[in-house]
Amino acid sequence: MDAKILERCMDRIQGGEATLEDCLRDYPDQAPVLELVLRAAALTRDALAPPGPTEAFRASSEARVLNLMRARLAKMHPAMRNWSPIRGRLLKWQPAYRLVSASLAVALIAGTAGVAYASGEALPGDSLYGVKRGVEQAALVLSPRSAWDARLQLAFAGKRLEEVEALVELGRAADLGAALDSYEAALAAALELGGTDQQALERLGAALDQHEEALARVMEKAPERAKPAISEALERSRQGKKAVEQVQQGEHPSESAPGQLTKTPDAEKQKREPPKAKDRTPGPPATLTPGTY
Amino acid sequence: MGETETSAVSDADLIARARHGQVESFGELYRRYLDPIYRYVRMRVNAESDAEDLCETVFLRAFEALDRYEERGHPFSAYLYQVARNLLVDHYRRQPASVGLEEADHIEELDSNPDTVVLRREQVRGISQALEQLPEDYREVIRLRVVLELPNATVAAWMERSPGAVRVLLHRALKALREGLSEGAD
Repeated sequence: MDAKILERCMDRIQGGEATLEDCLRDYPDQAPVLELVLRAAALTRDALAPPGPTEAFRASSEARVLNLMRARLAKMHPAMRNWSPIRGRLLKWQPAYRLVSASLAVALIAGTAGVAYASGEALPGDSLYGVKRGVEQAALVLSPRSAWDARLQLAFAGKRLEEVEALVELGRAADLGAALDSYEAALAAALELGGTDQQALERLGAALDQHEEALARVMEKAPERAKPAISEALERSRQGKKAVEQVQQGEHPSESAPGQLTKTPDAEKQKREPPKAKDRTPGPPATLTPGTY
Repeated sequence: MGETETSAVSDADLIARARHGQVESFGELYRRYLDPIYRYVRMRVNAESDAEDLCETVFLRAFEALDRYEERGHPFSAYLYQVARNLLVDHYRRQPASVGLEEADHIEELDSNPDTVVLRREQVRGISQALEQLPEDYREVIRLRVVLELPNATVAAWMERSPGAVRVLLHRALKALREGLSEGAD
């Protein structure tokens, strides 16, 4: 059987210009083998042809993908550009954050997704916490514009602080690190995407005031070993507020501005370690002698 | 696609515009190639959700690497295909249990008749087993040319072979598949 004849027949059949029988008639000398091969091809295609993307996916996916791309390209106000030590990290596509399907998000809205509803109170370290974060990500997926993404991220930052307060109340200091990390990431995203119009800045400023109050409350109640991490989050929140105020006043914070956060060399790659127990044992004597301790 | 201004623009022009920050131009590329890329990925994984995630990641990865992309005579879709193949390798590495290259879980979506579903599953299993016996390039040309019904020129670009080489490869692959199906039936 001639490979060109096979290709020609496949093209005609796939293009709807001819049937298999037409091809066998056109090439009677090759018909016996041609028929077997074309039927095997048809069988394989019918059995394995995958469905195309659903309309729901097609519609939501394009918006989601383009939003992520816009966020990546968004020109941050110079004040914000120098503020965020972890800019870019959040905007990297994170396959590990599995997006809950739009249908689940819709089900949540309709109040029929019991699991999603039950996950609403989950805290870092709880089994349903992943579901809760997945539902939040679905909301980001469905948000039509980056401005709405910014408001969502701000809301998420607030939720993370609520979780931090709850964890402190429950004495679960070991889970605080992850919650504080997530708070800083959400805050950074909100600042990156939030725009520089007056309304957006006022919203940011008000939220940051609340964040500072919440973190101060947490600081009072948290165990000692957790305080350095909380202090760092509090400092970031304050610096964010300062940057917002300066932008509102038409100023451009410089690298040398007092209190301006300095990006440390590997800040984007550092992961926060769980707060370690503060070592309260006295330091060793200046000269070490075996058996002294 | 409709006859819009963007649909008449070449891939190269869209890429150039996207490189200058025109995200909507990349959106046009997304619309152009979503179907074939999605269907290729969908064919290669079990779960629809995995296919959706991977498909989006293909385009995002491609966008992130746009500065480094060079046409080199191949269409942009060929580049997307390579990104998809690389992501699939990573996917299988992370989730080896989900590797069922041709074990589609969407059969029930096509027909709710239980007898038909059983027959189709048997059919799929037989064809999958016959395909599994073939060399990888035979399987790939069958996936692209037969199952996805991509034109020979596209398959040639994606597989980085000449159209003539793809023609010969397909010929051999289908003959081998037919023999495998015959043996399976015996």
